[in-house]
Amino acid sequence: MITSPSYQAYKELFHSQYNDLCNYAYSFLKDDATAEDVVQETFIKLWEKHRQLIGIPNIKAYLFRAVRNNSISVLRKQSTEEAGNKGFEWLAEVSEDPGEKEVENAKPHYEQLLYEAIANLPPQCREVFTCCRLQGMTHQQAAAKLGLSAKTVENYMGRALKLLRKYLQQYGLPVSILFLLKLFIPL
Amino acid sequence: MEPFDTYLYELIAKNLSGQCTEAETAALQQWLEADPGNRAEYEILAKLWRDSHAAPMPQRQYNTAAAWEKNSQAIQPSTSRVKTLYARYAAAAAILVLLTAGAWWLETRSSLKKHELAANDGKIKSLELPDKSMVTLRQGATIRYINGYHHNQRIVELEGEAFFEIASDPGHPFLVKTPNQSIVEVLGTSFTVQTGKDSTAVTVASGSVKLGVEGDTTAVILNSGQRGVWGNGLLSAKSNHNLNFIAWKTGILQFNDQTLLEILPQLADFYAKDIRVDEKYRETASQQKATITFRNQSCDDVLHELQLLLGFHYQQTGDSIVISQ
Repeated sequence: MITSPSYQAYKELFHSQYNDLCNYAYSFLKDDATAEDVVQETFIKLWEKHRQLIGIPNIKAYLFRAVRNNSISVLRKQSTEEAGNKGFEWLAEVSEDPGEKEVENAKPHYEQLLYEAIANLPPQCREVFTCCRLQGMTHQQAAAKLGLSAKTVENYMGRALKLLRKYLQQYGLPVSILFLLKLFIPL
Repeated sequence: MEPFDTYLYELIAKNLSGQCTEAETAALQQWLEADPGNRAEYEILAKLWRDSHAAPMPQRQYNTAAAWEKNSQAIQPSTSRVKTLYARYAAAAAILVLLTAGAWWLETRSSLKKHELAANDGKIKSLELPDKSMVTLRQGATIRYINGYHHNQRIVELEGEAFFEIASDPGHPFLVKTPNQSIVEVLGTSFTVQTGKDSTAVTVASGSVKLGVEGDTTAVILNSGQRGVWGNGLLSAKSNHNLNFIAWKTGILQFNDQTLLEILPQLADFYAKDIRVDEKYRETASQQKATITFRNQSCDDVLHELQLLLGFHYQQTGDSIVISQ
């Protein structure tokens, strides 16, 4: 039996993130079994090759990115049976910012990236955003539910918007729609 | 694109939710008309806003318990597999024994070699020692170890700060030596060691450790939740009130009814910034208290949240921050 504290941390991470990550993988793969396989593989790789990452601040963001990249790589394999594609290797190159290739691969998956960006908001910010934006509460209702002041809710909403923008910008998304406006609205 | 300030994002979010006051709408309108770039940025944010409503939500339920069962089997070192392999190659057993003997001899020799690892690239670093104990080095720390035992003891040398999770092995005590001749002796436990030029501080997270000095029999036993310090020829132990002693590893900062004046030095240590309090604000800062937990948040995020809570101002220039009224 493994009982070290890092194993405990790993176990907790697995239990807290498994369902969300499977949902995330499913949004790419549209198949439950494949989605679970991808998440399972990602976790096994994390333990075997990158155990030191378990305690790092951004581990959740890394997991989402790893699951996304691994899902995309499975999709690509399914469509082209690409020879020599290793897949499941993403966590090997751990960097803060996505590389050029990753950006290109991720681009067609705008909606998923948006979900990823929401999932990676700071906890309280995410909660406020979910209440207001996804469950349709007014700022006052969200403030009452979460025990915050209306001003704080406004502040979190502004920050959420800013963070989402920043997250997607790394991937060059959303594509600027300025030229469309020029067509329709004479400035 | 020029950086937008926080207020503007708040204003835009408020406008998109249809909750702007007239004055706010006017302010936003003015900003929109100031520059076509502003309008383009606004449109991008509005698109994000609309699309976020349709972003896929987690709705499917997966069996986490069953998946964990599968996962934990996959990551446990499998002994049954080794046995099957051994049976299959039974014919080669004699050669194997010879090879093993040779390998053992090499192993004993190589164990004399000291291995060294330093966390010198600005990141924390983890490693598994030959005995399966885990060590996490804080930025700037160095550890040296040998691959084996020294007089039946597991010995490592540490400079800087590190967190240890020791694999239990009562037959082989684990010793941490520091540059100032203090020694930490453990059996199976987790703790941090912080070595300075002429002092050593040990904080125990679980189990117990003995802090002593080389060539001396005096020592203190530290239990979980205690912090021992060796310095100026003195050994001392007291309970540890600092919840954040391994924040550098966990990324979690916790404050329980602490004053701003007590909180700030901990933030300064965690984020390696210089945080000063304006003289005029000191009095207030020593009275404002907060109970709050931060998980893996940036320094700016944390200050921002405290600002919302306590209502001060802060200004950041490079790595120094000034807190004021």
